[in-house]
Amino acid sequence: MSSGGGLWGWLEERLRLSHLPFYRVPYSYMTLEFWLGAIVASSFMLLVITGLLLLFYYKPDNPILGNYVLITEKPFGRFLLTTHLYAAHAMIFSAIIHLFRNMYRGAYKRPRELVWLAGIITGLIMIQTAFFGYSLIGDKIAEEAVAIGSGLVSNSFGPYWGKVLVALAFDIDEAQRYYRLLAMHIILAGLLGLLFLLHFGLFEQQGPQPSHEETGWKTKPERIPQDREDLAPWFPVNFLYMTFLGLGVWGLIVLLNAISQAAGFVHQLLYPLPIFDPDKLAAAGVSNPPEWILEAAEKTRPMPPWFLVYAFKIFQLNFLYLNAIGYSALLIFIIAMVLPPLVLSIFPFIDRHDSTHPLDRPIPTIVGGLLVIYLAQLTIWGALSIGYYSLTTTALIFLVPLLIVVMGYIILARYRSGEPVGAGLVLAFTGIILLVFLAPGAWIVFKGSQGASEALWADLATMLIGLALAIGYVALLATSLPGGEKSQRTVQVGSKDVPLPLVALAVVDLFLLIVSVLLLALWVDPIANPAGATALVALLFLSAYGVVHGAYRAVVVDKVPYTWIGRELPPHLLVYIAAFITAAILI
Amino acid sequence: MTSRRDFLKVLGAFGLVGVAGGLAPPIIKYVMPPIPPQQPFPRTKLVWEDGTPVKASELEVNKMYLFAYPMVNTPNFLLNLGDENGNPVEIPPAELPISMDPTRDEAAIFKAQGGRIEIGKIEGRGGVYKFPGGVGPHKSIVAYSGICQHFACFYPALRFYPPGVSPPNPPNEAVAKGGVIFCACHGSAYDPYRGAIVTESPAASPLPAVILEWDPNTDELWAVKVEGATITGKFCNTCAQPEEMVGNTTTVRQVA
Ligand code: HEM
Ligand code: FES
Repeated sequence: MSSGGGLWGWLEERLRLSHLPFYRVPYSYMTLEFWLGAIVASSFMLLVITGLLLLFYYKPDNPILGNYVLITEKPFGRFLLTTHLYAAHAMIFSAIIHLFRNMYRGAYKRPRELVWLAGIITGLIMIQTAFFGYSLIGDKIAEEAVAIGSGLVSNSFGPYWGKVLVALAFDIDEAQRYYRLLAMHIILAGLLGLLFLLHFGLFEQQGPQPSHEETGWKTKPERIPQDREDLAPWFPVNFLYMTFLGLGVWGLIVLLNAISQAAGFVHQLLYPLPIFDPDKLAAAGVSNPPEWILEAAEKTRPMPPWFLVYAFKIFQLNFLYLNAIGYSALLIFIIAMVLPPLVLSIFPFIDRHDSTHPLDRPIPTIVGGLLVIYLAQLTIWGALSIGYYSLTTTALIFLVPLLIVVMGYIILARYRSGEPVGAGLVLAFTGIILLVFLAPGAWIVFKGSQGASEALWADLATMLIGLALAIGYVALLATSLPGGEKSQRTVQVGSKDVPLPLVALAVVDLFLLIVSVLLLALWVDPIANPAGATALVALLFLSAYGVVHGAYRAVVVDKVPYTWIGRELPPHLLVYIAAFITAAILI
Repeated sequence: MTSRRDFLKVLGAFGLVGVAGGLAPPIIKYVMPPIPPQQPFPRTKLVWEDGTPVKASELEVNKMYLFAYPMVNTPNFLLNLGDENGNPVEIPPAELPISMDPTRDEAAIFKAQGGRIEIGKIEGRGGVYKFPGGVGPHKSIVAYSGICQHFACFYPALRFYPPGVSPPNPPNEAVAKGGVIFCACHGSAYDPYRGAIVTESPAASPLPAVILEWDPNTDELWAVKVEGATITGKFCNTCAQPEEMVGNTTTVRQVA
């Protein structure tokens, strides 16, 4: 960037933005796959902002009353609390996707081992932060969280130390409890911020892993050479990309929140508001709460937020408990909380192959894939049923994905290396799939004659979902088969003029931005219509996203030339959909 | 000769470990709440919310009552147990194991076939305690800790289902028959007719029993002691500051 004249030149001379020492990447890397971490980071920013604002009215001496007042009387109080929750959901969900992508691409390999490890620790602290966050609310789910958290710890670490840990985390004196939970939540959130900086700083030292198209699935070159022709200047290209992506993520989080508020109670895992126990609400000093608050309590059963449902399910697997007083839950604790991150941590150290191809890395590809499939299975299983499980049922449910992923891997790896695949293997593979598809039918006919229970349906659903996910994963692995030749997208050099359709798209977004600002400031009543007010904030973020996207397009238009409107429209469709949904909620 | 490199390594390592290790105890001392002292068990009269004493004959059969004992934050069930027709059932005394696992002994097989566990057949570790059985005119009134022995869930997650009333999503037919204290958190079930022994894991201890005294002359009830396992999450069954103990009376509240 030349500094030029005018205000911009003046600023550039002082801020020297184009000299920021960030790792530079080619234009072709401006795709979501390389920016998944930015989605996690922007959810985190939104959490920090909403969380700090929530501090104004949080009442540690009576959180139920504080939250009740917050969501019924404070303008935009409901918006802040629900957005904080949905942003936490978004952060955790996108972190899982981010982890999966880096595992699948082998991005943890030398020299990025420390980036990977810092990421895993950041993720652990993220879950802990979220746990203390939802314990803060003081509602039904929060009380159960404190009970189960303390039960787990005191049954895992012995009659004395277990209880000391519980006292440290949750306090013994209940009148003091929420002060401590609040302190823990904020300390952990701060620690999360620092760990994120460490993770990001370590990443910046290496830059993104070069794409497999450019390396032909090799670990070399380890870094993107900084003398390539097609590198984008960090400012303004990466900056604008990051900004519109962040605004889009915020807008999407708030939009989903608005939809969820407008929809009311669909399922407790999606419900954005606290779920107050009517007795506790009365004890906290709330008389005559509205009907919808009481209705939510009736429709919920004990269950943590979705990202801990997998652990909740593991806690029910009674054959995993030890026969040792004070330590009976230690094995459970290790399986649910320690083993998954530990297994992920060793990937860079056991997988030192110079190929990043998923079919050259059996352990990470199979074990890592299964971890994610099991996470999904346990979550669905936990949401569908509770209670007693035999080892056999459990083993069956988890054996299906294991067999499919392992056999799928072997078949694909042999095919890739040109070895004979073996008809027997393929037959066995399809046989298992068919068997798992057909067996439930037979099982239902058999059990149906005896009156199949709800729990049985849940077991079957979990097994079939495992089957579907495992097949999906093998299919994903199969997409990595063709190619292997190195290729590098070349940069084009076009005109710097911004075509009229791009201008038109941005103008529409700008118009929507102005409309949402005006409606938010002057018209909407956030107490009478909290869902509408939330939707307007979503429109504000998303139209701003559209505007910044327009700016980004204009900046890179000479390198990524305009072809036709159909290729430019999709990012803006999100804005129009948001406008439509906002209008629907408001009217 | 010590090379400069080794010298700096040693200094760095000791310095870091020293500072971190030195700071940990002060931080932990600062954030650790005081461990509460052990108190004697109070002798506590059960009263209604208006202060009048609870009479054993006033307790409706198979209804669920809650009261706090021995601490203000340890809820318990008070149950006048009966059969499916609402007739009180005598609850016999028994010696119960503090730790037990119904999935790992022969009783489990019996239970899986829909039967009830014989108390004598339960495999146990960690000693036994005396469950005194029911009190009241029909020896049918019992009280158990209302905090699940698994991971400490409490009412309304943990609740009593009278005979013939199934919990929602029962894990199996035995639980669906009712007559259980069932925990909706992870599916533990206890048999209140047999000292609240565990009939469905993951819980591994019977619910601690609150020992009741009944005065046949006045028909009034006292809670005097807790027997069995330690209430989940507590250092001991009376570890609390004095003001956190219930006093001479505790309020009984009907919840269903
Ligand atoms: C500086 C950063 C943060 C601050 C100051 C903060 C503050 C708060 C406060 C005050 C509450 C209680 C809201 C209320 O009851 O009124 C809360 C709830 C919560 N926090 Fe945070 N928080 C921060 C970061 C985070 C992060 C990073 C996460 C997730 C990884 C998170 C997850 C949660 C969750 C899940 C809740 C419960 C929301 C609900 O159930 O509605 N927070 N936070
Ligand atoms: S807390 Fe009761 S079963 Fe887990």
